Amino acid sequence: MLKIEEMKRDHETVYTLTGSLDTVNSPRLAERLSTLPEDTQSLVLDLAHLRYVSSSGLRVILFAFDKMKQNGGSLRLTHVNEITMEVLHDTGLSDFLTIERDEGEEKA
Amino acid sequence: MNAGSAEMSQTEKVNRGNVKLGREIREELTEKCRRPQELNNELLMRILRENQDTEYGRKYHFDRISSVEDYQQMVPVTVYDDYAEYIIRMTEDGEENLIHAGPIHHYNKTSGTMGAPKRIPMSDEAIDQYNRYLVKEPFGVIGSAVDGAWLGSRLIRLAESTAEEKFLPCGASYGAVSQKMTRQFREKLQVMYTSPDQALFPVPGTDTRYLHALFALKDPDAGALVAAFYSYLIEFLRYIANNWETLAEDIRTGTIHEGVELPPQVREEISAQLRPDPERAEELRQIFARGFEEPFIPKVWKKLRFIMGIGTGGFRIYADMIRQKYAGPEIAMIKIGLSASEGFFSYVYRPDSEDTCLIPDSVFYEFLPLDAGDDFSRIVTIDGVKEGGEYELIITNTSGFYRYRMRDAVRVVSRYENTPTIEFMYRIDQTVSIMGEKTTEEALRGAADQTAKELGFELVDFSVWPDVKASPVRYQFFMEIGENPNLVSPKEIRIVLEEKLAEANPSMGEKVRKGICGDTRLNFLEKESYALYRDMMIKRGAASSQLKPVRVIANEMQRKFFFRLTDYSAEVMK
Repeated sequence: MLKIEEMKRDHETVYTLTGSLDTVNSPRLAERLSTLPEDTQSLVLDLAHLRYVSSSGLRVILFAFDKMKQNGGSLRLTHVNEITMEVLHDTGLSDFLTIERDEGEEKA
Repeated sequence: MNAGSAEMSQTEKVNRGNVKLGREIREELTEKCRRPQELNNELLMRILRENQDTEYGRKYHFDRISSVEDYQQMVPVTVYDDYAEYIIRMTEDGEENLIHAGPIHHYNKTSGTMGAPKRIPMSDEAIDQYNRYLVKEPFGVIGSAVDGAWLGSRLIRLAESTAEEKFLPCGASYGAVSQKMTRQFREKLQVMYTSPDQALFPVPGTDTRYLHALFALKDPDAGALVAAFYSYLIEFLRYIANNWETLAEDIRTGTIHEGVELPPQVREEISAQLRPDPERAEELRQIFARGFEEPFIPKVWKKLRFIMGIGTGGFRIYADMIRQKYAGPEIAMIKIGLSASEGFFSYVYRPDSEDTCLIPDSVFYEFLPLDAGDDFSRIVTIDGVKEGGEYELIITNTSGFYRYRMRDAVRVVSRYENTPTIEFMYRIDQTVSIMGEKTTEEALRGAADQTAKELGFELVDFSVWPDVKASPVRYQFFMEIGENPNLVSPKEIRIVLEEKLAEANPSMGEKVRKGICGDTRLNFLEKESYALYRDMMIKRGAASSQLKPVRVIANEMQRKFFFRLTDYSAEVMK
């Protein structure tokens, strides 16, 4: 189960993800990303309510990173909880992504 | 089909030209194979003469060497670290005549799967060898292995190069030599390959698998499927199997599905090339809608006659899988000889053979028996190798490496004319030995492959971590499995794997029985874990077409990655 809530302000789009970003659900996020307007300068994935992210989900996050970079924009992950942070760290994604931890701690 | 009749005729001309040249090279090689040691010695002496005034040549008195024996006494066996300082001076400061006489115009970048990427010098002569032995010669094999139905067809070539060439401070180009060569012929590639320029030279953010697949499927007359490694071929075929509905729909409408990741400009350029083709789309739908019980390649591409790539050694698992699931028995599986950034060592002397024949005039060969350790007094040359013997390859090339340990283990199978034929066994640095058992990559691969075959599940890929912190020490296997039609349980897979490991390496089996090593723990990875690993390596700068499988987990980065993506495990409960 994955719920994606979208909020837009100026050229920033925020997707709040609730549930699991796994093999079954991650294509839905990919689909949503494809509809992002090209002039989106900033994409935020709010992961406060993300319970689980699998390899498939991580690949979609990488796609999002590439897409934003290609458009000259940026991707930010916010409210990343401890478990998700560990996954991002251990798989090496944290080396590329801009991440804001739950406490507001930022990693470039 | 995009290509018009004039273009097709040009395609056929190119293919026929390649086959003709390939045959000529093969004939020359056959002749050379009659006197391998003589030619090999001549090559060594020429290399030494040409480089005697380099810093390295002066240090080891190349000018005083007049025989192979002199060479072996006066010049040490080396590894990359012995050249690292020279290479920094060459590439960063532009110094010349250090290890190679004259300038080096290209440095190969190793894929980095075995550690940090290295800069491997490649002389102009080596680049010429690449073109002859790795690009052109295989067409000679193809010409003799399959009928000519493919000759008027374009090839599905899964290669990707960066559009911009990278240069080192010394001015030499830097990257995979295949990319350099491809770039030189960029204007003509559409005549030879199905994929558009945007897939062959992708900008970041391009879903190249989609582009390769879309344009390959659009062309019913594609004649071959080619990639550097069979591992990439299987990923491509899986992609088609998983996404055929989208691909067929895009072919029907002549549009690109919104979900496909493409930069806006690329989407625009590709869209301009597409035309609706409902007839082909319907044909594909009918083929794929029947499911994937039977191989789909012969139905989708009726003229496709061969698949080519590196499919021996660590890649055999993928070659077998492609044959069984996607290609069927009629399509020729052409393998490529043994090569590396440091040189081109062997060629396919017989299309249906697993062993390949040494090329007598590409590098100078020495062979260190695998049981000799570092006892270099046991090194032999071509004439001294024994059939069935297992050796580490040591080479002297035309690019400045002398008596260089390749860390590749090869088995001498037989002789073609008078030249040894070899079979790649494993990377020596990919051997696991936690209690002196020395389980090779070949044994690990055999155990994993046999387990999957016996139990009937699809093995996507596997890796091994030598767990020396466990008590007792043990192996931790990682597997990503695909289809599991018999619903074999994790426990059952683990038991059979343990048996197969013991068969592949009795020393390990005995150590487990005696409790010196613990029972193997088997970790099942989440789906797409290996695809994610590939994505990450590409993001770190590796060329997608050059990535090799991770067999033995060799560093902390890999260890964390695979443990983190473990879905569930199977081990013996005590």
